[in-house]
Amino acid sequence: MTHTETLNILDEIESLVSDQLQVVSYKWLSRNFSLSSKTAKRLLKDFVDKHEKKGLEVVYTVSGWLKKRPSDYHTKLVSSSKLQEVEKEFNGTYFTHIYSVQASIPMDPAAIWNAEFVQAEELFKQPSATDNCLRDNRFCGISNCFVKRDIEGATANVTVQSKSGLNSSIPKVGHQAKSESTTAPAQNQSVKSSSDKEKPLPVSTSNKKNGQGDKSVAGAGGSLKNMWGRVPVKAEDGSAAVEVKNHDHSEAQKPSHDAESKGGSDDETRDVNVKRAPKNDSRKRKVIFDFSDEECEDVISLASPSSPKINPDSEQTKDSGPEKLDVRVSREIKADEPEVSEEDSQKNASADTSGARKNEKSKASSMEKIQASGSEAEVNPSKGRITDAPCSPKRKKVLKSRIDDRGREVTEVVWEETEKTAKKKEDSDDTSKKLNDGKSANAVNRAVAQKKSPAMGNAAATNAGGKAGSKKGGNVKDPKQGNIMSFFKRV
Amino acid sequence: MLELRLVQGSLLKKVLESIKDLVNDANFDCSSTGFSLQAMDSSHVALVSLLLRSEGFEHYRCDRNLSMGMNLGNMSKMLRCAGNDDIITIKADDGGDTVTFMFESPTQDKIADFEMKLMDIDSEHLGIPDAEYHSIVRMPSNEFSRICKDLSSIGDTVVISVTKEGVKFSTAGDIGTANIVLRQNTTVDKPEDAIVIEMNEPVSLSFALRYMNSFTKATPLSDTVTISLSSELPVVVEYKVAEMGYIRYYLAPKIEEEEDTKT
Repeated sequence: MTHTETLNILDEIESLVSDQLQVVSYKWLSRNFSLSSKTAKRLLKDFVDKHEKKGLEVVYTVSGWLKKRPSDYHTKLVSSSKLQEVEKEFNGTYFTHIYSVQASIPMDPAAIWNAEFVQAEELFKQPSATDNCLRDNRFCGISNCFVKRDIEGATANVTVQSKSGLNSSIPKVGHQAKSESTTAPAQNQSVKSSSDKEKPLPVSTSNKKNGQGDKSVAGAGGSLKNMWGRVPVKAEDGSAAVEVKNHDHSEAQKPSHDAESKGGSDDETRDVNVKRAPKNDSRKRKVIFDFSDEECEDVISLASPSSPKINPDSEQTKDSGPEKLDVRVSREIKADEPEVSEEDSQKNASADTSGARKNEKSKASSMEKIQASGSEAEVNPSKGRITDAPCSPKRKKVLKSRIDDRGREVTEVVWEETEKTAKKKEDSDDTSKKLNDGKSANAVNRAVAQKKSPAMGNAAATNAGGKAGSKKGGNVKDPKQGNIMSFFKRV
Repeated sequence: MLELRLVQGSLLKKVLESIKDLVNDANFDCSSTGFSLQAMDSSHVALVSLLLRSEGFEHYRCDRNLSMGMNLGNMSKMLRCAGNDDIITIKADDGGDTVTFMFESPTQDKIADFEMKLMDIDSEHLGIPDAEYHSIVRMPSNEFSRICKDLSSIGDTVVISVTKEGVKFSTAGDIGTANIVLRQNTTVDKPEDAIVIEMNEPVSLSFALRYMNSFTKATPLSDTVTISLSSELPVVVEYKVAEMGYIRYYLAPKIEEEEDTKT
């Protein structure tokens, strides 16, 4: 981080703390500016050193082993006035970091992480197409094997594993594509181009001073809104698939499959790969079982990888043969920005959906879910997904497989295709897992928040519960609910 | 010495029913002007303020200001033993730790005494300033109750918006959304059926339906309810208690999200 950037952030912290009276915690800072938490803590330290005499209140987090027996490992939030006192309670080495900076110590301890909570909620509320630090688990201290970071990872502070897996997968995909089909070169180009495009995006986001912007850029969340938003996309996929049935599944799907398998070598994806690998080789049914065990979200995710590509493919597939389709798809992907493609896909989806529903009313619900997942997939433009994009015409097959899964009847209809679809499913699973990872990351963050503030008690729990839980639970306290005490003064 | 004789004893029963769900324990304050209560719910989101003026009682004697801490659930249990036509008399001694409810049947042929232990309650008394509200809606209380009940089956938050077109109650939930719009309507046979909207400034606030529903427990007390809204202030939902006082519920609004959600 450059010196000027640091200064800008310090200025921003000052305005937040002194003008807007916000509690600026290192976590908030980290998410807002896409910094690592260490950097954020350092920035806060700089800020405190700089503005020490301005009457700031600083909350420190002190962690270490307590002196008293039995000795426990303890983490405490302490205001600066009590810091020395509390530090005496700790034995030997302990760590003191700045947790937050604020204009005054809030009466309600929950206020300390209110800003964080609101921020986390916003991050998760962002459209599924955007990637953010919570969705890709960027700053979480707990690595999540289901979260893979994409090309963007190269630019930002990311987990190492995800990067390596993605990078390795990309070249291979291109190679296989060449061997298998004439369209391969086009695909490679498209992949590269897309990757090139994507790289600049993260950079720009990281450069942005405004944390909000960064967050909005990335991440696929798991909120209901996202799921609803996805529905139309799926319908598209289904219709597109119907039209494109004859397209080569092998080309597109294999590359994606390889990418996944390679990804499996990565630490993060190991478990997933191991489980799936046998399934891929074997029949669809096994795959289906796994999916059935998993939650609906996973199912949704299955279709997701193909969705971004679907739009161009579906249009062209109608007119031309499969090979041409692939090429065009790749080109379109290159030319079009992800957002544009999403819009197209949605339009297509809406149009296609009607047809799909006619065919299968009962299956419509599943289709919708799939569509929803597709939209999420669009959000995170990853290499793996890009490779999938050419395969989009095959989506229809995927849908069929889904139906098969539920009914277990149709599996035999297309054998090879089913294998391919299975691969796709795996891909989709990965994406779904990514989505899930986003959620899990959220959960982790919230859990962390709770741990940090045991004193918060009910308030903390309610915060952790978040909106998701609050809807039905009458007793759950809504973080947005105002307090009557803030309006009337005691007599 | 305290002695309050309320001929229309059912009023007190209804009052208790309308606040006991919101508040568990509360201090009743008796002064020469009346019998009052102010209490917040346990989460400090809602506040209930009750006033029964001394003129409303057939006999009102309060030698010195007295604060009686009562468990409202227990008090409600005792008052339920009174008939709807009974005359209720509340009696307490200065410095005593009990309160006595005496129920007399209208024909004076049955007299029941219930003595209840008082409790010490640390209550925070809030000063509620008189404020000019941006919008005041008066409507039939059962209509309001119905709206809150209906909306709470859809969502957990109601947005009350007052514009010159009328007052809109809207909510959104997992299954969908609901909007109920009421227009001003003063041309009705019975004045209590009128919907009167005084709007100085349009206002839109969101509230937890859970609390609104507990406010509507006071519906039997009055045919009309008055909802006073002002941005930056808690909503006031007021039910008149006969001619002798009121129950006012104050509910802090939910804080709107100000951040833009642009991507």
